[in-house]
Amino acid sequence: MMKRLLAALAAAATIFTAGAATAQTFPDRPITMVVPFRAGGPTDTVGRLLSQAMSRNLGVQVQVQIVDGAGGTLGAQRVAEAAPDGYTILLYHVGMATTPTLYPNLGYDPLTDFAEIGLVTNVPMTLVGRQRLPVSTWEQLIAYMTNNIDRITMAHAGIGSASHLCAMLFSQLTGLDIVTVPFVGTAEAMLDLQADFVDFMCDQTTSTVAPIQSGSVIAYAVTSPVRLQQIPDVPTPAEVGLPGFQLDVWHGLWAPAGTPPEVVARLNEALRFALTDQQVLRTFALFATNPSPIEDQTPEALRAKVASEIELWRPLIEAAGEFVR
Amino acid sequence: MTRNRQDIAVGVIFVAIGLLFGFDVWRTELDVGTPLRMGPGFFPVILASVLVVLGAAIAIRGAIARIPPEAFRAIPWRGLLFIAPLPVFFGLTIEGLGLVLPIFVVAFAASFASREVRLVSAFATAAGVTAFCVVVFHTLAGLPLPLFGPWFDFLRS
Amino acid sequence: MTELLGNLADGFAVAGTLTNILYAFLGVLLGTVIGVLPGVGPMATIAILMPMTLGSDPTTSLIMLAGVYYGAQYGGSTSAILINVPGEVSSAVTAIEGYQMARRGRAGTALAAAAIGSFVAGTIATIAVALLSPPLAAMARNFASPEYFALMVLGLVMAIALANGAPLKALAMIVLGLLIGMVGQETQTGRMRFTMGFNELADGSALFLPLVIGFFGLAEIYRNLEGTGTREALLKRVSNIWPSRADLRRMVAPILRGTGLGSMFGILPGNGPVLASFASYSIEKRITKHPEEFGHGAIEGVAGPEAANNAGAQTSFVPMLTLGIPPSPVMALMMGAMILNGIIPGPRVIEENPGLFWGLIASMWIGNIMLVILNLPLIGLWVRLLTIPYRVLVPAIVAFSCVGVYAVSSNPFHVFALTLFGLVGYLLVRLRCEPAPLLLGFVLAGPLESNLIRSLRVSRGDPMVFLERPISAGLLAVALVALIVVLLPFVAKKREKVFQEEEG
Repeated sequence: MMKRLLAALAAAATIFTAGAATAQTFPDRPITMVVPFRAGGPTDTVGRLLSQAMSRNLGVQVQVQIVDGAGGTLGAQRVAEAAPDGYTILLYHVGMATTPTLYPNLGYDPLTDFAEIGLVTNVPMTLVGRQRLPVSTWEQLIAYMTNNIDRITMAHAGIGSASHLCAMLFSQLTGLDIVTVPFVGTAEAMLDLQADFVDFMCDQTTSTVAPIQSGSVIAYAVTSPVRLQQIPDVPTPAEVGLPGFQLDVWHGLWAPAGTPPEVVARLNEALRFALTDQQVLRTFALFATNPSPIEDQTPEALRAKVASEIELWRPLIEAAGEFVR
Repeated sequence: MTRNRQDIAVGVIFVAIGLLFGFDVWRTELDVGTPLRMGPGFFPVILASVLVVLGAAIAIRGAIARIPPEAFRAIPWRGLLFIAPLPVFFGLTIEGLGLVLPIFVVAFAASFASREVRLVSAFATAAGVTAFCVVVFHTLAGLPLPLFGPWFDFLRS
Repeated sequence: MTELLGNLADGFAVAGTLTNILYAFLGVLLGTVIGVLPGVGPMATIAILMPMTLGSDPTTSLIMLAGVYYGAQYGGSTSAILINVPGEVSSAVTAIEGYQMARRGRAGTALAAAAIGSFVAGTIATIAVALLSPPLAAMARNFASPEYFALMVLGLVMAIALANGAPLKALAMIVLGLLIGMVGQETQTGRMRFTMGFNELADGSALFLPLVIGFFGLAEIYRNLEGTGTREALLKRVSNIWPSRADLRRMVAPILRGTGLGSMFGILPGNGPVLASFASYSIEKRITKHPEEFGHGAIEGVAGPEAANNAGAQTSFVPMLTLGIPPSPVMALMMGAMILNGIIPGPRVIEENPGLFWGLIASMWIGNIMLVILNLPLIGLWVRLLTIPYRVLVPAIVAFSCVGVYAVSSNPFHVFALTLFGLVGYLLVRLRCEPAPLLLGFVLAGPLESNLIRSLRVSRGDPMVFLERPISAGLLAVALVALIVVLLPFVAKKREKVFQEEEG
């Protein structure tokens, strides 16, 4: 630990001698990784793991900087406007593709204002219910929801959050218009779920695996195509007859548009290194978080992902009619 | 009967602030909704109204109070003039100039809030404060900001 | 009981290793220092330290991060007492009486009262955590949105008692605080409110630091510059640094009450420690034998809230460790640190990682001893800080405030807000409105509104939801009683006055 502290100090000291950045010498000073969400959340966790491993590969400190607010768009905006030298990068998730629809006045374009570095992870989601619900199977669940549609509620972590998107998708697929209850972050929502006040929530495995394993919430389905080894009893969408109920929260890494290609390639190399790091993978595995497949750890794959997901979410969000003015 | 000018002033300020918030609810067309399904404007409208009522009550009480107001205290014009603008200056320049200069300027200028300031001591204080801040925020806390920001880039090439 | 002792013994075995003691010390030292400096809060420090702890033993790194947290709680009260700049909300309560004590030359006594209060509370809370973790955690699980709403209503009612002036003005300040708390992005629809078109103001809760520094720190500087433009050094009037025997006797009961309040409120998510210190102050003020001293440096108003704050800080680990539910942003960060180290917080931590659980608890007590050892000798040094001439202190405070605010959010708009809040704060303080109730209103605004909205959404608009649930109904009843108690003396005094005037 002391060594790391000293390394951080040494890295900080290199700023004194920093000159103009060139691709040959990149990186020669600390890199800032902007995380656009609250500290301690799922994205922050991914960011801190990633930054440590990338630091080792790059030989300079990669520092996480929290710039949260407005569904992550403030942090993205900051990186879009940063100098395109590779020293300011962004870790963001599926929100990169949903905010263009959610925020009609967005100050940047996800496709033209960034240089993609690569996909990082994908995290499946789980549909969970409060412990004392009298239903345990999918059939009972749908019947219960249908019969109690004027009483049940579904919690989510805020407008545009992954849990909100998942709730919208579920409502659209099942045709059940469930009243949603907005919280600030999934931790808050989990409190009311565990206190038996709200009925359902769809959340990333990062925060649901532990309560599912301990039995304090009931899980009805995962949103991944195969069952998860951490929670092997929970069925997949295809198994419960709702094959469209598939989504994952993917994270990607971006630099500002105009960053030299050699610099992007160097950052991509560091990303790939981090995604093979044993400690990173072990911690990911605890929460059923998967590193993106090797072929997706590329700028092209991330670009394609953003482009296709913008079109995927646009009709859903527009149908739900929830925008941010 | 003496009026309590202080309380009248407080009341008027609260009424004004309440009206200002109320006006902004109307200006930005925040949906008030109903008690059963509250919109984003609901709570603010209630709060703004309560503030207006409370402000009016304070002002009226001040107008009929029998407690004499306190002696007038001098307004610290010099302090306000030299300190109040500094955060704005700092916010505008921190990302362009980097850490060192904005801290130095703020500390230097703030020294002049006090009448007994001397140029040399103000300079020394500012230098000391700057050095301390750089060590704490830059070296130890690792604030991701350069000591001299991008506005100095022309010197580097 | 024997099992508990065995567990604690195991815990002390873990926490007592040289490495762990060293890191606990490093943590509390770092925490004290950052707590004293306005701006760098425990949030920022823990966030920065977190990645550095990766790869080391998880117990060791958690012990150190926890040390930073309660060390910062401690340091925050130091700057609140000395220069009226509370490091965080809960220290705002300490500033009320603590700063008044300092102005009367009793800074040393105030600091000692805070230190002793914190230590006693920390010791008792450590035992409480060890003994009561499971039942406490079970209790917290009965709290949902309606209960939080009721709890916050209770907190706001108590805040009226905080003011030493007219209750009407205090009420208005609370409402103003609630209104300022509405600034930013609304959670239900995501609409921006009162941001004047600036997306940079979306996260309204980040205005907290500029608000505190503006209303307390800058306003106080302007106030001091009212006179000759200089401030006489406070030390000239320092009488004695250590509390007298009478002081100590007056501290005992407030500390014990504060510890009780803090231990209970701490486990409740949503600003538990903050509510606890506000509650402690209200109660002490209500039952004191020296009501004339409140507002002018009453030692009970320092010892009680500090004890409550520290006890709350410790018991807030309970829901995080036992339920995997973080009751505050700092705890969310601690949870993140555990996750980074490969430990899933939740009911199984006690069984699967007993060394970590009990070691952490034992280290809290060790950390508290260190804090006392570290801080009591420092009091003399802190007090001497007050002899620094104002022409040096002012530039330092102003510069720290600017850098600190920027360091936390990297958002220039929050630095701009310092100017506004400094001016408004000075104006209101000059007109005898006290800033502490405003601060509580600001902190509770968001949760109050969103818990109300959520409760009514779940009940489909039926307000009975607050009365049908026993805990929320009980809390609201207490709030009603408290409101009557707070207003009664006010009404009675009014009457008395009227009578006197009629007779005269």
